[in-house]
Amino acid sequence: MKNSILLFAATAMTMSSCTRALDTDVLAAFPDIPEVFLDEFASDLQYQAWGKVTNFSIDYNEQYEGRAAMCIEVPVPSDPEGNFAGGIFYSSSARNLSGYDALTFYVKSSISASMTAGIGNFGDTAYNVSVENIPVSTNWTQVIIPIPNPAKLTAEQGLFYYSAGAVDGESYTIWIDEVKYEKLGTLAHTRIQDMTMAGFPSGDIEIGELTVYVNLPDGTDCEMTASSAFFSFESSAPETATVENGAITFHGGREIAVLTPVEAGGSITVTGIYDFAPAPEHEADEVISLYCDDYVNVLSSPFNGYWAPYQTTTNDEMVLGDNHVMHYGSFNFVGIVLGKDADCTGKTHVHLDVLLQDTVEGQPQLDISADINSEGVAAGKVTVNLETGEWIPVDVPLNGQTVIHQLQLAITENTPAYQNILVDNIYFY
Amino acid sequence: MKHCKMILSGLLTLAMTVLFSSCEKEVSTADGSDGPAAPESVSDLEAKGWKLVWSDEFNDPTPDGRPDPLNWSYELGNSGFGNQELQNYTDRAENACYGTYDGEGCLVISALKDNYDGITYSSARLKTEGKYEFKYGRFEARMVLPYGPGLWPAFWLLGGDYQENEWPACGEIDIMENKGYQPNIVSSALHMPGYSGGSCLTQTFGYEHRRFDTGFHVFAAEWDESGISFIVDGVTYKRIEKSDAPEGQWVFDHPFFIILNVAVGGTFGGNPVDATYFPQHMYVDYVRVYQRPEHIDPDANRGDIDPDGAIGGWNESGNGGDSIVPDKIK
Repeated sequence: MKNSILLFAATAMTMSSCTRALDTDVLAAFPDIPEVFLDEFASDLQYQAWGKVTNFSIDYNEQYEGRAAMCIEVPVPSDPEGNFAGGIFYSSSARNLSGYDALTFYVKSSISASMTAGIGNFGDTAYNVSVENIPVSTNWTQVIIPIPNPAKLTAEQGLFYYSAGAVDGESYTIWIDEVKYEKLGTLAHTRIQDMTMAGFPSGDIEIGELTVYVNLPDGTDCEMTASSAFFSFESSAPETATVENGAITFHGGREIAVLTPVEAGGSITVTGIYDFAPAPEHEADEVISLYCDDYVNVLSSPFNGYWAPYQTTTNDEMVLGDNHVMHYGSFNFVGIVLGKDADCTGKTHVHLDVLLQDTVEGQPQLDISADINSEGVAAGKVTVNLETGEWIPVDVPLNGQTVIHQLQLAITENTPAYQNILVDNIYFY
Repeated sequence: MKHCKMILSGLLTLAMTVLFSSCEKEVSTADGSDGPAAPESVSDLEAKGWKLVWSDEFNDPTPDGRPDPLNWSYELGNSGFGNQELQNYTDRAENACYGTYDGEGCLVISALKDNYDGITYSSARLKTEGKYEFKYGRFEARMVLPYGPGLWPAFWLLGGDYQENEWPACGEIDIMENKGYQPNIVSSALHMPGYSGGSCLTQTFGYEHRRFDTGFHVFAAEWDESGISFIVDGVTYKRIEKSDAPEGQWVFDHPFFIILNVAVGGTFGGNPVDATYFPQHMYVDYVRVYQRPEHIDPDANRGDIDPDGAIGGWNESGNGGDSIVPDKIK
């Protein structure tokens, strides 16, 4: 999180100086050219390939309109020159796109497929838009990439990017034409996907990218991923949390905070403020650590095995300065499979701290086991009672086993359902 | 709007198709980049010879926050209403209540995907039947529409004699209908014998760069003995003359009542798709009825309202200078 603070400071300094140095006349100096590719590229445009570098060309035999279209050869996955087609068209200077509300283009392909396209993703831009799974077919169809809050794009270099992969292992061709920015006026109802999250007494959390919806001229919503920097947020409880420059800052308050974008619908709700897990009491040389900010974590894990088909659990790490906390959502069970089996010789227990976020009736419980193999043979297993908002220390005995393959966390048979837990301080001692 | 297709009367249909513009083949478009014109005020319209005879401004919620029962009753059920509509119309607050939009007091009709009573969609349909019915006049509503495939909002009039003269003989005047997959286009229609259901007389109006679900728009019909005009945001985009109708087909010379509803699914604009976002809301800032002085009928069906008393804020026995105009529309 120190990096975030430094970044924030640098950004603040930069913005501060920008405020002095750049008035609206200077901003207007960036051209507002709408064209990216009609029959040829706009004069300020450069291309950078992401996938197979030779995938791109201009085809004068296929076009939606005019004389030519962009032609993209999507390679097979085994192509040694690159296993996908992708690239970005960027302005060598920058453009002012704030007067437009969408990037539009026409696309067709030699077979039915899908592609990703977006805006930004170049240089140090804070504003990225990505629309995935855009269907493409053998007929020309128009694609609209909405700009969530055009006012932010006063100096954007990344004008259009794309990526596509093989379909069933086969290569194919995509043609793209009439790529330009437009002011459609018929896009509406921008909203972010509602989110809930845990809050803490102090620290910052980068919001990062959000799932954003914009209603298209046909009344359907376009789902996209967009930078949170597109939006400014208001807080229902500023003493608890506020948002600046894409980061949530906690101020010590304990009231639930609803963070609402000014320029869109939807919200981020901080459902509760929790203390960080208690610091461990063991000396560093007494533990083998997997996930603890007070120790060197010599073990590794993806922290979620995504065990199909019954697991619903998702996970995301919350980073607040030097504090890392693992959040599990939609929880039913999860496997924490170690990257390499842990040699626990001389250790008697594995420890972790668990906090239940949800308020539920009855006694919520959690089964936790330390397994010696992938079949789930447990060295030790405990059942713990959870309490909403309280860190519960858990110590699972290893019962003399010296090799641990994985940990399992699962709701018990009779527990009331819950959705969100936090986990921290996982180590063997 | 509300009823199934009828068997076409071929020759008459052909003739009327020549006389009237037909469904959606012509789209009146306006650029729309400058925003809609300011709605005409009551005084503007009274200066043009109209008298406000009834309105619901939806400014002052009833104690329970529901539509005023003196003005409105509910159409209920999930019969599909002859159009294979999917919604279950209820009289619940969840589907019809007072609310605000941009600070304006509104009637809010909400279409929900809530599986109420085991039916996927619920919504509301309000009507003035038996309470306020009018022959001729200017019928006007300021509204924000819902959006998305499968949504079918409407502001319309139905002949008050529909139980005796089965539709379409009773007549139907659709002042505004919208297909949710076309948030920038609305349409109007007349249904009468020979011209009903899919063969009604209809006209679309659209904006190229503006939508009807992002702010208020005013939809109106001006109806007199000689014909009916359809108006959006002050633009008269269609006029149908009585003289254009074949002899005996024109059924628009008797009282009609007002209906506001949001249908879900059906034959007009199709059913919702996975990408249709719910809940959806239709905000109605006001509904107003104006009449020419010569058309004001003291014997008109106004339910429990004393015909000699105030009518929706306008004193029938007075003149324009004595009008009791609700605060909002002064």
